[in-house]
Amino acid sequence: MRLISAVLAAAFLTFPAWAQQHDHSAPGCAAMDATLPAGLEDWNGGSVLPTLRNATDVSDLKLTLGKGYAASLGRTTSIVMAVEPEKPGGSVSYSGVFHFNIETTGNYAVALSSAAWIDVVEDGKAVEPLSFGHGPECTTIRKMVIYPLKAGQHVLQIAGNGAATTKLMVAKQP
Amino acid sequence: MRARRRSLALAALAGMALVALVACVSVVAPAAQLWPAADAQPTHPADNPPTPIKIELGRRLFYDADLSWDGTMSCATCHEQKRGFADPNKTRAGFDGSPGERNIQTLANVGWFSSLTWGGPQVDTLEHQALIPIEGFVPVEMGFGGKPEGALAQRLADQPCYPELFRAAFPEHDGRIDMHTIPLALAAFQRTLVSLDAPYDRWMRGDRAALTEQQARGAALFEAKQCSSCHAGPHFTDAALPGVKPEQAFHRLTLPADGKDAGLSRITQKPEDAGRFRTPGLRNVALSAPYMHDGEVASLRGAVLHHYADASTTDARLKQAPVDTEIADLLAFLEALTDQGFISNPAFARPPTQCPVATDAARVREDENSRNLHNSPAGP
Repeated sequence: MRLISAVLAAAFLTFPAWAQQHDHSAPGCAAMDATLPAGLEDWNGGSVLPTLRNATDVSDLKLTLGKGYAASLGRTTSIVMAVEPEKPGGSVSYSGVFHFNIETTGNYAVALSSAAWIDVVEDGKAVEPLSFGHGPECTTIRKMVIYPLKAGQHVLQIAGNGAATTKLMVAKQP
Repeated sequence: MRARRRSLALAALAGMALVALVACVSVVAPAAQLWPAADAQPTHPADNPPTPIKIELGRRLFYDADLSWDGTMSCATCHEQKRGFADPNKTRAGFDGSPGERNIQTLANVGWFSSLTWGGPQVDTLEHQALIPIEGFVPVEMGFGGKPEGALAQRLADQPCYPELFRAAFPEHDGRIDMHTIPLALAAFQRTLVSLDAPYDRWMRGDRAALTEQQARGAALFEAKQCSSCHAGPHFTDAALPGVKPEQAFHRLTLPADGKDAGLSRITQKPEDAGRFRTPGLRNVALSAPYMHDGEVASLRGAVLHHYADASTTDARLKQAPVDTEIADLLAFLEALTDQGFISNPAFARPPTQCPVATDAARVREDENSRNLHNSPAGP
C-alpha cells in the first residue's frame, strides 16, 4: 500500500501541477490495467452513470467514491454547468455534470480515460487543484487531478470530451 | 576624398553587418527614444485590413474548440493567455491523442515576426500559419486534415452567430465562411496580441525606476554575453527584425542526436541546417516553461545554461557560460519581460458567449415583439 502510494506520488511529482491536459502513452506496457493501485481497483467497473442536464438538478444519481463508471455525457451545448469551465469545448463535444458526497475532508482524485477538462465545484466555486498529471503507468487512466475537498456535497463537471462516454472515477487519496 | 572615405566606411559597415547576419544579427540596444510605444501595432497586410468586427470574429474563432474535429481543442487550448499565450506541456498531443512534436510558442508580438514556426521559414504569414494546426498532419493537432472539404465551414455556418459575424467582417467576400476567411480573421486577431509594457519596456522608455538594480545588471549582461545577437530588438528575436530574411533567424545551439528533430534541415534537406531552429521571442518568457523546441528544458535557468551545453561549439558566444551570480542577474532581467497587462487584457481573453452582432434569430424575435406590441390592445 505504501509502495503504491509512493508510485502514485512519484507519478504526480514528475508532472507540473499546472498541466491539466497531458498526453499519456504507454510504451513498454505488457498489458494495460493489469495492476491498478489501491483505491482504484474498480476503475474498469463500468457502472452506468448518465449526466445530469443541469448542475442544479435534484437527483438520486450520485457518484459513489471508489466506484468505476462508464459515464454518459451530453452535447456540450445541452448541459448547464455550475461554473463556466476554463476550456468548455466546442458544440460538437460532450460534457457532463455529476453530484457526489464527501464525508471526510481530504484530498480526492478525479480520474478520466480522456483528456477532457475537469472542475470540482464546492460552495459555488471551482476548487483549485493540488496537482495534475496522467494516471499510473500502464493504466488506461489518461488524466488524474487531485483536489482538496471539504466534507459535503460537490458537483463534478467534465467539459469538452471528444466522445459521448468516458470512464470516470472519484477516489479518496491515501 | 572625404566622400571616398565615407563610401569606404559605409562599405565596411555594410560588410560587417553582412558578416553579423550570417551568424546572428548584431544589434546595439536601441536608444530609449527608438523603443516602441506601449500601444505600437504591427503592420497589417493590405489584403487583410483589420476592422473591429474582424478582430472580434478572430478572437471568437481563436477560443472556439469547434475548430478541432471533435470539438476538444481550440487555438487557446495550447496558447493560454495567462502563460503569455504559450503552453505548460513539453509538447501538446493532438485532438486524438497523437503525440505533439514541438513546444508551443508564445504569440506575443507575433504580428512582427517574419517566420512563425520553430523549423519552417516558409511559414511567413499568420494567414498561412493558421491552417497548419487546423488541417496539418505533421503533427496532427486539431484534426481537420483529410476530413470532408467544407466540414469546418459548414459547422460554423450552422451556428447562429457566425454567419452574421462573417457577413459583417467580410463584406468584400460576401460573408463567405471558408478556409480563406477563417485564417484571415484569426490572423487579424493575433496581430492585436501586443506585449510592450513590461518593466523592461518602461525602463527602455526612460522610467529608471522600472527595473531593480539586479534586473538592470541582467539587462547589461544580456548585451555583454551577446544574448541579444539572436534574441534581438524589442521582440527579443531576430525573426522580428526589419530586413532580416526568415531563414536568417534560424540558429543551432547543439547538433541533434540521431533520430531527433533536425529542425530547418527537415525543410531544406541541407546537412548544415541540422539543429537550426528559429530564435524564439522572449516576451513573458518567465511564464512559458518548459523551454526549447522540444520542451525538454524545464526551467528558465536550465534554458540559459542549455545555450552553453555543446562543449565542441565553435561559436565564441556560446563558449563561456555565465557564473551563478550572472545567471541570477539574467533571470531577474528575464522576469522583467513579463507584461502583466498583456496576460490580463480582457480584449485578448475568451469572449462572452453572447453574439457581438444581431443575429437572424434575434431579429426575428425583435420583429415578433414589435408585431405583438403593435397588435396588442395595450400598445400604442
